Amino acid sequence: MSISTTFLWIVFLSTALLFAGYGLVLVFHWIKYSLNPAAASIAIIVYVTGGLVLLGAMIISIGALLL
Amino acid sequence: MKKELHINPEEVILLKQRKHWFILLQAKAGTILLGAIPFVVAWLLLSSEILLTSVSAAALVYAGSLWLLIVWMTLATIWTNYYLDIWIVTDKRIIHVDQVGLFSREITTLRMERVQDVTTEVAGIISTMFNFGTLRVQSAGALSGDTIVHGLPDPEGVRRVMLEQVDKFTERHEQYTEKKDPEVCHDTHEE
Repeated sequence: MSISTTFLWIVFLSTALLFAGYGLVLVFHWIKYSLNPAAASIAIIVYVTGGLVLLGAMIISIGALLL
Repeated sequence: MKKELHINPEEVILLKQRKHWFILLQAKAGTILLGAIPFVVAWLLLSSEILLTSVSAAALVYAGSLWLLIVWMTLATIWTNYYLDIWIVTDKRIIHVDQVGLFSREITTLRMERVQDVTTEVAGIISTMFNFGTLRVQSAGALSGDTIVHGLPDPEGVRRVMLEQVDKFTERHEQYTEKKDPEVCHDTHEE
């Protein structure tokens, strides 16, 4: 593993942690203050799905760089 | 100031309004444009004659995904601020929840008997086309200032509902006062 790939992994992990931590703050707001539980659930699903797709794309691109 | 919203079970919700969708679009427009950058770059690279190696393509996908993830989180924040801003009119009071930021939330409650006047303003071409504007509620009491909501859809309709409720409330209050002390009311009428 080269230095650049290690750097990419570090950036990926930091981003994933930021996404998860920030997501917890947002989910807290949606659950606590939203007057509509269905809207809160949809918001959680959309946020998590979008984030996982982008994080997945990051992992795949790191994998491609390793090949 | 209370941070959570409580509506009594006997209270009837007459109206629940969020800001107009155009306000959300306006707030998100800049971020959406930023989100388009990776796609524009990809399109430019694909349409040009530059040959990308697998390494540079993977690096571009990585950078684009990172960029889009930040944009995604920003959009979620903007939507949260929009969605949690709400204006509720019940048969007893008006509740205005203002989500200023993620960690700043204001709830203003105004009882119907304190409402003095409601004014609306629809200014500009876009506001007129999509029917949204500013609603200002003047209330009694030296400490409470006017409650102002910008970007409210159908402000005239909201105003009508509110004034109907204020009228009903005043009527009920007058009837109650007459029942409670009919002689005083009778004397007053004679004068």
